[in-house]
Amino acid sequence: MRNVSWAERVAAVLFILMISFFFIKSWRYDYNFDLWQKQNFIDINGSMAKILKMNGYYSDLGMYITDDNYIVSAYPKTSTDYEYQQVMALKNSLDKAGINLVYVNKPVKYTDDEWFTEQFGTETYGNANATLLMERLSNEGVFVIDLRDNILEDHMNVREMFYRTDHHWTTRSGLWAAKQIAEGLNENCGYSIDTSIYDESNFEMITRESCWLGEQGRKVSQAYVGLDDYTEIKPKNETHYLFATADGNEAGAFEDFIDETIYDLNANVYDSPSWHYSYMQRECHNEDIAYGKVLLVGDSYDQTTEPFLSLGISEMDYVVLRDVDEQFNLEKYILDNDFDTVILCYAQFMIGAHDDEDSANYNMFTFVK
Amino acid sequence: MSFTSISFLFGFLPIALLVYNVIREELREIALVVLSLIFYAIAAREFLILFVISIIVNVLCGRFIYFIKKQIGLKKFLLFAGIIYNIGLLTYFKYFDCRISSFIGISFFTFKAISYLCDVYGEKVALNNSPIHDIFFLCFFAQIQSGPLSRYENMKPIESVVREKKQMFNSFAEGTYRFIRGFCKKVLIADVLANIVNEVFSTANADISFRLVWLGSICFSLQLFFDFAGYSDMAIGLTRMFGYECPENFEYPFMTQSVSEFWRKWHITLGAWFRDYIYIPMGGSRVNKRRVLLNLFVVWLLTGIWHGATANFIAWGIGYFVVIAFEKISGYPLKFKNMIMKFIYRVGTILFINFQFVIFRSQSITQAIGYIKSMLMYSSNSLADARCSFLLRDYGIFILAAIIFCFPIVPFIEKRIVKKRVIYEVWQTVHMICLGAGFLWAISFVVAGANNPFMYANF
Repeated sequence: MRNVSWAERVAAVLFILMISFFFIKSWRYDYNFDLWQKQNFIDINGSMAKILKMNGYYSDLGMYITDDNYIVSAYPKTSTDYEYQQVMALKNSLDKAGINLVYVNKPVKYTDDEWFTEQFGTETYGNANATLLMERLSNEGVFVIDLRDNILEDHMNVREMFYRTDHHWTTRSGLWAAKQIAEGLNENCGYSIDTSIYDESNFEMITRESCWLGEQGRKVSQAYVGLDDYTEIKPKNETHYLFATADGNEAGAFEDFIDETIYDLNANVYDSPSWHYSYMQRECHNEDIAYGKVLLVGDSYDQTTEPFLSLGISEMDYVVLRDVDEQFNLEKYILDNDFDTVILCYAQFMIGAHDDEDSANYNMFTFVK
Repeated sequence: MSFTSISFLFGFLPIALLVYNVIREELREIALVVLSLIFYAIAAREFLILFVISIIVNVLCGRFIYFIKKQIGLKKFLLFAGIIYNIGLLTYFKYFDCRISSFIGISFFTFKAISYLCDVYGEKVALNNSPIHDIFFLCFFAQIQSGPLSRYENMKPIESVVREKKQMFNSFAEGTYRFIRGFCKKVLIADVLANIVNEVFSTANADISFRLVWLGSICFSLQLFFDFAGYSDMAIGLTRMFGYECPENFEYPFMTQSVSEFWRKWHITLGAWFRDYIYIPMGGSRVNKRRVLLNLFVVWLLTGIWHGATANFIAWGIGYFVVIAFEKISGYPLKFKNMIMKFIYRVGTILFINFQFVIFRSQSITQAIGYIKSMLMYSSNSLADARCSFLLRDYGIFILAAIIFCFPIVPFIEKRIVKKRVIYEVWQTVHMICLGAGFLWAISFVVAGANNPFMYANF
């Protein structure tokens, strides 16, 4: 046996103390093991990745980080055939029943695939896939609102529309999108919504700075990407709603779309619920509006879109296809409930999800069985 | 349960150390057997019963062989029965049952069991009165997953040599140091480089470039070394923490002048096993040249097949046979008098080993040929080159660290300063602080979910 230095002996004592201490602190009273100081370790990992400027280190978790701490993802190429075929099948079915169909394409955190390739040396097809599908649908007479075009028209910066640490767009973007969709409904679906109701001046905005960490940020750590700001948006005017509940209807106001208990500034940013989900999609009847019955077939971006859109529509309902059971029949649901308009409102990374059977979003485009 | 998992580090290990240290000395091996079976049950519950049966079969065979010294025929029968049982089990699970990856340590267990039976048969070892020691030798959790392939005669408790408490603590301290060093090698280098390797080797041949394939192959050579050497350090460290000796498995293998020398420094215990239980019983080098070639061919073919029954592993084994046979017959590179020729041969050796690792890593011989073709013929692909630059920028410091620590930098520095007491003390302190910080950083990688299984756990 070689000579052992005093430093090695000290290290051995520290090691045994450390693993013993962590062992004692990590076992909970319910006999589950939950590593003590786990989040600090995640922060150490993120800090080191940041110091070493490892923008692609978390790519195996599907995330790349720009130099200014904006988390983005790459998306694989897809033929769009399945999505095209399903949208067309639904359109044909709705046309027969005289129901409007609108397809809304919601952007991801960048609108130029080449920018991504230049930054990270790897290809992404999120925008190319969306462009291809929108072209195919438009050519077949589907009314398409591609919000990327609206972003260009309004000279907006797409990066300011999203949280840095989350894949969702901000509440302001949800409000902006609601206005774009309302304008589309006016132009193509016989609606006459007063779209000025969506102007920001009609809303109270409460901004909390550096207050929450998005779902992506939790994986790469607060230490790496920092915290995001959050803006709670509520109409200044009084609103009157009826919300569908399990027991019937419940009277309320726009504020009932928001779960303000989530805005806990003292909560642990890793454990607290996502602030994006403080806005809820709800089946509702806006008693201040006389016209319109819309079904929004969407995704989690619409946590913020649907409440704002409902300000200009009498009745709104929503479906998230990844959350329904196998027996659910979308066509039957639409016909049984007499909707006048169906909005397919998808973030563009949903396109191609059907290529992967293990994807949580595998069924998002399965409209007609 | 991997040595780099949180449940092992902060769950199993403290319990095992506590049990080992509070229990009476004569009960320690029993405690380690129980702990090893618990470890195995957590890691591979569905194979626990088969594992226990295998241990019992081998220990019964070994003990009978030992106690019936004069009945040569029966001894021989028991030896062959034991070997056939072990090889049959390994062959079935390795080549006919896809659950091999779940049957933790079956390959290494088989080799240890055969060495135990052969050593007892050859009367190279004296069994003590307790079969518990035999069971412990076969199932000790620190070595069951991927070795090192220690021998029965070497599996001695340190306290039987030196009983002083201070020496025991020194053994524990040395073991701790080795464990932490191995943990850092595995998590901070091997697992990080795995990101590059996995990406490059899963990219279609049409989408890769000359630069990218070279980056992938070099990173794989480094990854495999740090993965397995890291594992071996942890296994050696754990064995010493529990008061036993364990043979070394790596000795800076890239510091080599020839392919033969590389294999004397890489996976040392496997090479020694093939030498002692295949090569030498077949006559070794003390036969005519043709027979030596045949012996070498059998050893390297079996080494290839042991790693996997696919064509790429067989090609990998035969590749080593060709070069090692050349070195043995021709006497090169030892015959070279010229330093330049020696240097050229040394570079050629490293390149050959790198190509061999490409064959080893590939999913098929077709992929290996395609990959090596891309390494030999320059091709440019702007996207692949951009990706290569990005990976180098992102992982450059890890690649650099891996290259540096492939060579005996630390022993070199220590040798130079060991007599300068103050400088040496400062060095030791800084060394330990860096290692401690590295250990915390490594834990952060594991907690963040960037942890891969040990590569040799699949063999």
